[in-house]
Amino acid sequence: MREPLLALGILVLVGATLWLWLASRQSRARRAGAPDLVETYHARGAGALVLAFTTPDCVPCKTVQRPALEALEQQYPGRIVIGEVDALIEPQLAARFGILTVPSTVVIGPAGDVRAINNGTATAERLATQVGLNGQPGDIGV
Amino acid sequence: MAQSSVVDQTAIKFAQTVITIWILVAGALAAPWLVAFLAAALATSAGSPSRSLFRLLYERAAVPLGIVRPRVIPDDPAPHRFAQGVGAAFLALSTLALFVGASTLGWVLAGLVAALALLNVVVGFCAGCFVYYQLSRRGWLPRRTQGA
Repeated sequence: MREPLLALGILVLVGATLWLWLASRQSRARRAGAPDLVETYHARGAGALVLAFTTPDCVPCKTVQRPALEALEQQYPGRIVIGEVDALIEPQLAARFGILTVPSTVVIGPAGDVRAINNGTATAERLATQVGLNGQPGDIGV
Repeated sequence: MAQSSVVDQTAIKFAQTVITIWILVAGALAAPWLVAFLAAALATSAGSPSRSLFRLLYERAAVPLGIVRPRVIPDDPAPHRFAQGVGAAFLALSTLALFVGASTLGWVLAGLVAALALLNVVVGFCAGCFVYYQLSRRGWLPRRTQGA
């Protein structure tokens, strides 16, 4: 029984270290903000800009993340600008937000404030909450 | 990806949940044979999905009992089978380590499989996608142009 507990301890320690490292990277990206991207994607008048990082080979980007983003757009027409970014073509942009995997999404407010960085798939509800629009969930369904 | 390919996302999450619980139970009971059994089940699932134990549990128990609801979407099943194969390989190594006396290493490997499965269920972080992206980023995999 001692070895499984030791193994669990090792995994928790490694996991906590990785989490702290990731959190510090994301914290730097949040502090820096992204007003330049709000201009680039013409998102000043919208509620938020959602950058969706993808690659050509990423299956869940197309089958899970994209439908969630489309549902979000339908639910809140005109209030969200979605920018799809190929992380392999724009590695500097991916590095700026500490993107570790695809799909990943970054939620940026109209003033350029980085509200959330999601490594992995994010549901429409989760994104809506991060954007600050989650008054009426229910029929998003993704 | 073939146009007709579909994948039940709930079935995938169900399998990952079963894997996580199974490994936790194996660790709590300090029972290496449970890890060996899971390695074989995962290998079977990757090699022959129609004979998958997880699929059997899902289709014969979880769905009829109303515990979960299927969510079938167009998707390529190949990466999911590949991920199961990788999981099976890790668990096979874990089993080997457990039976030759390197117990801590064995449980770390098994725990890693459980942790990655749990991470995908809870926060949608796909370990296979992570590895694939990191390899592509470093130019170690051939690059494709953007598709549909």
